[in-house]
Amino acid sequence: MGDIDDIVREFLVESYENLDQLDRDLVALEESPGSRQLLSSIFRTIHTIKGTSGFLAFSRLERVTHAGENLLVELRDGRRSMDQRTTDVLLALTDSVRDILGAIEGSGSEGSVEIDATIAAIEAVRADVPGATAAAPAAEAPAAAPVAEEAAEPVAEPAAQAEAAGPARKPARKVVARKVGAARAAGAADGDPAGGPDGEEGGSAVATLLDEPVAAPAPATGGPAGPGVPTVPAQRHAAEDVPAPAPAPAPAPAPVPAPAPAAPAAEPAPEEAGPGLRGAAETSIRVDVEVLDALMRQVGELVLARNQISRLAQGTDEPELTRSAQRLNLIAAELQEGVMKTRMQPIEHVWSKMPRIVRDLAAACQREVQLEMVGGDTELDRGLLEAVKDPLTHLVRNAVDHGIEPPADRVAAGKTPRGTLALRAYHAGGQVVVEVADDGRGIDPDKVAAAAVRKGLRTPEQVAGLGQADLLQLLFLPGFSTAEAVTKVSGRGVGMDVVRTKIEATGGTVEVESTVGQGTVWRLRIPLTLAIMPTLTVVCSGDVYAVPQVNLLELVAIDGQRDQSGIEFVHSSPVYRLRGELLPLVSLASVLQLPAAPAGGTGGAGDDEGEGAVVAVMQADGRRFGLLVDKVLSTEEIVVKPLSARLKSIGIYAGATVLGDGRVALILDVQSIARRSLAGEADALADEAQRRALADAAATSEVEQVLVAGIGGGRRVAMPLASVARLEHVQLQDVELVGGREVVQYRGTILPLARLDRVLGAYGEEEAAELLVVVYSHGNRSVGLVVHEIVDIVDDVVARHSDIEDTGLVGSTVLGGRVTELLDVRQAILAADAAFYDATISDETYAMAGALR
Amino acid sequence: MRALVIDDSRTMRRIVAGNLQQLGFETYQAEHGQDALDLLDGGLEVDLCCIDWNMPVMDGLTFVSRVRADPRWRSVTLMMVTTESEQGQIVRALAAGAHEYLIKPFTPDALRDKLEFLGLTAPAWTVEEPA
Repeated sequence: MGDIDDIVREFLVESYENLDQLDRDLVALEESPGSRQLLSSIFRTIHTIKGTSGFLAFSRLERVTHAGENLLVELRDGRRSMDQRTTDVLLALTDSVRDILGAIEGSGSEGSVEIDATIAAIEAVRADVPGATAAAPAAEAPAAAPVAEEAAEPVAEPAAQAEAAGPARKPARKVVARKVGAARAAGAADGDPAGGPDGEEGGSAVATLLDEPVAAPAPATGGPAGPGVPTVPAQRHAAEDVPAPAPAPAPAPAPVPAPAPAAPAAEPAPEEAGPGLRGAAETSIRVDVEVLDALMRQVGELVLARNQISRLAQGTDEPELTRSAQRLNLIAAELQEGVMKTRMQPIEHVWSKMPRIVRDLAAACQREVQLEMVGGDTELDRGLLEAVKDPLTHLVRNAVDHGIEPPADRVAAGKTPRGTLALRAYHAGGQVVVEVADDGRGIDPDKVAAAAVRKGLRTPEQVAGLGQADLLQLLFLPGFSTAEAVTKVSGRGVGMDVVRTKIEATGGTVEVESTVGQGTVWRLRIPLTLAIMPTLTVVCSGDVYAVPQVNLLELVAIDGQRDQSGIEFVHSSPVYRLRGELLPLVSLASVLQLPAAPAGGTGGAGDDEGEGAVVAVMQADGRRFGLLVDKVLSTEEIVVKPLSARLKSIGIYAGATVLGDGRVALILDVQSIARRSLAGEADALADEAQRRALADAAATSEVEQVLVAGIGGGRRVAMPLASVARLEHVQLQDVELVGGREVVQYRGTILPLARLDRVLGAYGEEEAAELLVVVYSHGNRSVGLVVHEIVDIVDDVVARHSDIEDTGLVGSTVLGGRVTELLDVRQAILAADAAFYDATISDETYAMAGALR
Repeated sequence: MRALVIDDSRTMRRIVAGNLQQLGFETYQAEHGQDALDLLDGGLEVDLCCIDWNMPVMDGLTFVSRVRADPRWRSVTLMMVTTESEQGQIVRALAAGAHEYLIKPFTPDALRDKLEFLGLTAPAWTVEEPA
């Protein structure tokens, strides 16, 4: 690597940039085959590579680009028209070129990269009668196509690696300060000709070139000539040699030529892409990423020092110190922002690969996909950009493979045969939101549930109580994949769980929304930067912890008096009633397995008693919960320090930091805490999972099995299953009237009946010959509640109940997608047998009714 | 002696400029024809332009005709730097007013020969023999 000379490196960087553009151009070209502008651009790229490789004596590269150039000339001059096969061959060509560049980058020479297949494929296409139709190409296509395929296949992987390792990192290594070159005397003897690969014919030129001082005119120094002149070229020169600040594969903010939405009709004005393309280079220089990283670290330390000074200044009366501290505060903030900016890159850098990926994939899956990209100029920290690259690619692959239906299915569903895949990026709430949206078949939550059960990830009972959104969350379980058959394309053993793990590792989140038949939206929320994090510092059992503000929704102070605190217990799990909604509480002390602080202690009060506590309402892992802490200190910008492996393996901490007062604080991993303490992801350990599932169910909310029955008029009621003794069919003729009440003889006793439709006022259905009776028993007494039909037995999540009350009802909830009224069993039973409870008023029954509330 | 290297490839600009510097030229660079025209328009005075054929925005041929059409730049020598495959086009460039052409890839010797022929060789003390 070290042997690769500057020029070769420059060549590699430039070529990679051009190839990325080429990929996009080729895909765009397929959309608008006649575009001369695109053809010229493509031709130029190949031509330039060929020209330069001649100088650098990369003969394979020259040969393969030469072949491609010949084909491109025919295309450009209109002697041949673009078709699928031509595109394939040209893509194979770019892959070959990438492959060779990768070899050059790795070893300094072309190695023995296979190019003959590609050349043969190109020649095969050329051998066809140019512009001829149907018959002739069809005959030859099978012969040539496989060749191209073959050539393309093996190339793809290394190419991808080369990209990752190459332009992304490589050029970054290179601090370009060209002026240095001018200082070096022009005659500088020979450097290291080693960079020049095997000195063939081009060898001498190369050797000489390698010696050349890097910069041409000594810029700043002014130079001779007319007024104003020297400065212009000087700037120019600097600008040219030194393009976009952070050299990633794509050239600066090139407008991504999304596969021309408006079909070929919109022939773009010629040459419009040109100036904009390199305009950004004018005032930018290239800087080593390591330098930036080091700067970032230093700024981090500065922020820490600033925090400490601020803390000190707060404790004094010295106005001088206070003023200086404020100033320091301001400067540090600006510096921090500035340094962060230098690390920002448009997300386009990642997106630039997508058109090609989508195209190849769509072809492989026989889909028609139109890719739309909006907000490509949204900027992200480059470290984060790297981190979201794979997850994003995975989501895109997934959307094409599983989301968008085959054209025939789409047409059958009344959609256009061509599906739309949209990538959108925008800023929201201090985060960057990246969406991957398709208008495909959507995800059926029921299928998800079934799959989760089938794979043993969840029990049917667990699944039954979940709402649609929660069901979709199951997609993120490790080991989950809805695809019936693992396809070659996206089924590579990497599931959504990996996507989520990766995104959450950056402090981001993943959400999914889907409507069956209409499409799916995957939404990634990513923080702007990794290194500095706004947090809330809290105290628990005397120790200070930092909670990322990203996860924080609000803070609720809890009154010390327990009875008025609003903390309730469902079973033994605490919940908090916040504006009428039940919020599961997680006590930080119990998560950390710390003894609750002694009441009245200086560090803070006990969990839920004593002088009060604070509920930090958090949003993580797709759910809301309250984190119970003793005390909240303040908000603080902290610098995240990595944890040692030992602390990390605990899984509760995301990092550590030094606070303003010099104390070390651990940063809580809110996602993990949510996952551990609430219903949701469990560990691989089955018993652990089992244990947690039980605890979780209790913690989140009480789940109770209820019997759902129809009572006519489309109304449904739910009643606790626990006290249902039997379900009986009773013939209408067996119903007798006793004192104005309907009864039947039942197992030797008299069973009073209450018709729920009458009790609840659901009239309108005519009398059936057979009555369906739900028998409730208590002691030796029973009553029968007459319903029209038994719908189902489901798990009912108590926390979701609405508080609406009505005669004979205690509220309503949504079960199986329908609003279901919750029967006040006591009322109903009393309607049947006013004396039912007289003998012994059952606490149990009360409890039962109470549990429903 | 000053030369303006016009090429859309950074690498190629460096190679050509590097060779010219070896021959004692002070070099300036432009990314395409329009870029170069702007520089000249801004008052940059050069003795030689080395012009790539195929460039975005404004190609070499157009640049040559534009320069030739302007009396201010009558003294500038125009040399096309092209690849073999464009050889057929060279005639057009020469017809449009280019003085000389050079086929890529070239050796330093080839470049010096052409420049000598054009009377553009720099003073001997800056010329170095290739190793």
